Amino acid sequence: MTHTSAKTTDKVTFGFWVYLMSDCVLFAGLFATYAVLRTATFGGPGIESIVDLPYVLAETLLLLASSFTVGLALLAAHAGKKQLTLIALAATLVLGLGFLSMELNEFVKLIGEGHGPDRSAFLSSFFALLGTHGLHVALGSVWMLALMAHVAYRGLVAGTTRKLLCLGLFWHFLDIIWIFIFTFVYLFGSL
Amino acid sequence: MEIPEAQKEIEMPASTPIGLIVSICAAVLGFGMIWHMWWLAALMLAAIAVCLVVRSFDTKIEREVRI
Repeated sequence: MTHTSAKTTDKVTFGFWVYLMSDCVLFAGLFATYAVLRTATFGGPGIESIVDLPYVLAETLLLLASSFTVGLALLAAHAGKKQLTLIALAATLVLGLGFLSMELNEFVKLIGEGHGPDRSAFLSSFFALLGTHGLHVALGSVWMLALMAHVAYRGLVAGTTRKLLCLGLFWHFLDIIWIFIFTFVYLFGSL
Repeated sequence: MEIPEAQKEIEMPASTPIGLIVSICAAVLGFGMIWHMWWLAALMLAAIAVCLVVRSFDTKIEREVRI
C-alpha cells in the first residue's frame, strides 16, 4: 500500500508539473500579446499613466508573504503538525484574498474611469494578462479552502499531503508569474 | 509466454460516477450559455465545482487489474 502511494505521488507530481508548464505557455502567450500591444493605446491612457507603484508593491508583498506562508504550511504538513498546517493555510488564504481584493479594486477603478478593456488594444491585453493571473489566484483560493477541509476532517494522510504539495507548487508558480508581471508590466511601464 | 513480475498488477483508475455527472452538467451548462440563461449556467458551473471537490474526498482512486 505504501509502495503504491509512493508511486502515485511520483505520477501525480509529474502530471502536475506538466500542467504547470502548459500554464506557463498560456502566460507566455499573454505576455507576448501584451508586449506587442503595449503601445497600441488608441488615444487612451498608456501604461505609464495607470501605474501606481506603491500600490502594486503592496500587492506584491501580500503575494510574496502568502508564498512564504504556503511554504510554512508544507513544512508543517511534512512534520505532521495538523493545527499548524491549518493556521498557515488560513494565513495564506487571507493574504491571497487581500491580494485579490486589491487587484479587483484596481480593475474597478480603471473601468470606472472609462479605462476598461474595451478602451484600447493595450488595455485589452493588460486586463487579459492580469485577469488570467487573478483568476488563477481565485481558483487557487477555492482549492485551498477545499484542502483545509481535507486536512481538518481527515488529517495529514498521504493523499492529503500530496494534494498540499501540488497546491504549494501551484501557488509558487503564480507567485513567479506575478514577479514577471510586476517587472515587465509595472516596473518597465513606470520607466 | 512468461509475464514479467512488473506487469502482473496493473493500476487502473477506480470506477466513479463523477465523470458522467460532470459531463451532464457541462452539457446543460452549454445549453444555458447558448440561450443566455445565466442562472442555469452559473448553477451548473457551481455543480461541476462541487463534483470536483466531492471527488477529491474519494480515497479509493485506484484499482488493480491482475493478469
